[in-house]
Amino acid sequence: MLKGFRQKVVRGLLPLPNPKTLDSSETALGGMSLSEAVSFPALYALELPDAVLPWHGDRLIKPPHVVAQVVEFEGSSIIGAGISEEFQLLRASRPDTIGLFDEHSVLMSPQLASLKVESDFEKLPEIVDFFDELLPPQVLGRVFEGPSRTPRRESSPGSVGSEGQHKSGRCRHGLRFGCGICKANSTPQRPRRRPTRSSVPDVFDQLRFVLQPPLLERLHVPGVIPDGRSPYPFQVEGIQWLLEHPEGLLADEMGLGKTMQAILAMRVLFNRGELRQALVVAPASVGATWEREIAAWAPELASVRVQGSQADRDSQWRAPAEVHIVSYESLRSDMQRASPAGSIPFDLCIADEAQKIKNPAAAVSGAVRSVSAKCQRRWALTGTPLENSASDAVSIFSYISPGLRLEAHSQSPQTLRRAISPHSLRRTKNEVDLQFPELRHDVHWLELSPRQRQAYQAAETEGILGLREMGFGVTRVHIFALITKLKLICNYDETSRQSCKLDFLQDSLDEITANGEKALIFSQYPHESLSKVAGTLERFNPLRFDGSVSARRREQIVDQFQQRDENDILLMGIRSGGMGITLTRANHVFHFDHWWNPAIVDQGSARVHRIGQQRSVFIHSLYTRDTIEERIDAILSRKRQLFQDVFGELEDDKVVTRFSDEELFGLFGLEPPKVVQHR
Amino acid sequence: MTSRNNYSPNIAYFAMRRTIDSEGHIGAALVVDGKGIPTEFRCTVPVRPTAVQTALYGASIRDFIALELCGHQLLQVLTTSPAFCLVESEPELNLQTYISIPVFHVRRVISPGRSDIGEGDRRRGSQYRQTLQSRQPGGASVVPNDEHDEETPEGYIRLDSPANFAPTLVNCCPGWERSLQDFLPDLQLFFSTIDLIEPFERITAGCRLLSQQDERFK
Repeated sequence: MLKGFRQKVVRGLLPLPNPKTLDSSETALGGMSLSEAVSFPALYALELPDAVLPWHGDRLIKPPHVVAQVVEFEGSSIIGAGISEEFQLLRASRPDTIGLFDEHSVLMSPQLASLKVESDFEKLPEIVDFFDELLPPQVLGRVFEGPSRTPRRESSPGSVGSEGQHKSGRCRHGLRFGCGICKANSTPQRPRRRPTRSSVPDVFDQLRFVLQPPLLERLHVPGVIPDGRSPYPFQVEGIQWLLEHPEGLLADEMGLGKTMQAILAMRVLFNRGELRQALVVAPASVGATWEREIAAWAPELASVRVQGSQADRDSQWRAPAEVHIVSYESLRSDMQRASPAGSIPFDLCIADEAQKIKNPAAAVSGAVRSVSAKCQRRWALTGTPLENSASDAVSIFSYISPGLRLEAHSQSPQTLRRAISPHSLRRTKNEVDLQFPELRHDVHWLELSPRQRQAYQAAETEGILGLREMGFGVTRVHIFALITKLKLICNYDETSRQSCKLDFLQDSLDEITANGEKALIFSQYPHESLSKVAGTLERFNPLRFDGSVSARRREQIVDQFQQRDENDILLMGIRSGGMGITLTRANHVFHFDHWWNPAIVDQGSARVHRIGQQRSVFIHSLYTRDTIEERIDAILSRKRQLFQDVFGELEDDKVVTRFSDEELFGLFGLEPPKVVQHR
Repeated sequence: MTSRNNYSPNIAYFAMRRTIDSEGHIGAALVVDGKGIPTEFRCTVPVRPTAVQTALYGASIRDFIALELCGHQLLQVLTTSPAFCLVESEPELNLQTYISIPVFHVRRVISPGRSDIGEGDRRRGSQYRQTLQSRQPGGASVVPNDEHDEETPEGYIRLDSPANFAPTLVNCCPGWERSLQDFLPDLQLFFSTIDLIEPFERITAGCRLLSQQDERFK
């Protein structure tokens, strides 16, 4: 006994034995069977003033000095002495108590016993029973009846609503909700432990992805992907690569199925329970493609396109979908105001056609970086960034992996390439083990018709004279204006209504359509050139797809061209129709004119030379001899070759496609105005 | 249990999982069809014993919660009529005392020298020595004990899958050996396309997700 301590002897039931530690001979203790004993567990607590218990979480910072000792047992079946002064102090269920517990005693039989308690407290603690029996928990879940896309609301048992309320808001007696008959018939409603339960989705709904069999290993199992589709082995590798790279750039050559790979990787992550919300940012023209591809490759994922008016978009952001699809422009707009977009906890952001964010200072780039800042995974998809611009890659990676800080490497394409290679994956059609249809590229050098030549010469002469007359006032803008004017004449001379390109096109299309094939015709001047030639091509039932066509109409046009036979050709603006669309019903592509950047031209060609194409693909590039087109092509070819020799695959379109003043003015035999420096 | 050509029974998986804070015990039962597709899922809200309860129940608390509180009622509320129940921990075989369908314990083959089979297993094994050498057409093969004494403890049946899933051992409660023999062809067939252990991983993922996003599990 400790000196100066007050003592008190109490009687009570000691803690229960551990059933697992007892043999059958020990199960009847103190007149109780084991099962009865389990039903009446007990423990003692010392009731102490709360103020003197400095709890820190579940621990006492400075435990009061309490000593308790089992001093007397009643009955004869004592298993062990169980006497200890090393009692544990436990936090009890009541805030003003501490538990007095000796692990050794727990192993003893549930005997009536006496405890002698000593304490340095003036008021001797009272002993109270605070043990709570473990009770069976509530069971949740249900039978699987197919995915439900919205949280299920459970009707209250026995309520009037479940008794007979119709959809009309009236009960089955035709009376308003709350009809006396129904009320009388309804059974009393049980008090609900969780009144908000009805607003909580069933656990099966929450887990419907993760309860499915593992997806990645079963992608080839029939039925896992509808319509007998199945990814190619290189695509499975791409999916695995995406899964292993939370921050990654999938830069496969156009037509290899980047969208599908990203969707299946996303589906696997949902299946594993690692995703709850995903965001796809894509050009407006490919939003419908994403929606369609998600339905095809991941039918259990609900997707919603965020588009239309501001109010519509706010509503769509709030829609209970796993995947939100939004255009870069809409995202920029919504991130600049207080829209729901900023508050959705996206786990994954996919930036499709990521060259859209090649300018780090642009608002769209900032919006994508902002909305994805807290994402665990950020992927970018594009077929061209590395081939076209080192600075593009820097900007794209500032979204994918802000910590990478590539700016320091941007001056050296080689070091930049080394820095980003662990985070990017690129396969070309030649590399993948896939039998793509043959791709044939024909460059057609055409002669302007005599009257077209006449118009061209006149315009060029007049233009050059005009530039010379401007003297030092000539700028690059004036040069570009003249180039555009001349290129338009090369396409179609409005005065003579002649076009050697149109003549060639008609002859070719006659042959192509006679074989039951279709063609795409791209131009950078859809309004100025294609609209002029459309009338002449009327017999081919042309469809038009350019910037003036609404997003909804674009989807219809793509569907119509792909699925019906009556439209033989599709006239497309290279900027609006060159990205993300599958138009494999055509196997001929005509480039009526050419953008400065050949990668943009290649994107157009990739609409037909991609997975799903069954026939040989013919790319026809139309140029006119002895014109501005020939001169520009010569300079571009020379620069590309030079850059290729120096840097290899990683090109920089700002170097290749940006003409110096000397090169630009030289197109017309002019010298750029010299800047005179004054001392 | 003779002809099973067109018969594909539902299989129940029962497992216990901890909440993310490790303080709550979640009981979960997943029923899958013969292709491994889920048909029913039930789980309990977490049982969170207090420190006192944890100390009082001692080492038996997990089994008490698993068997008495969770497993018992979870398997009773299943409505998709599983033919048998698979558990991943041997003490959970004691569920057999609460339910009428057979309960089988499945686990991966453990390399020699790493066996964690207890004395009780060996005792039961001596009473029930596996002699089956059958193979369900197209299904997993049953490897007789004599061929792998080191890896297959007595009382266990080893299944090898033609789909290259890791070899798996299965056993049952004493007295239920006949049921295990009856359902062995179903297990073999199932194991030819689905990893017998894998659905437990789904339960793990599901419980982790619930712990993360459902207030009732926090």
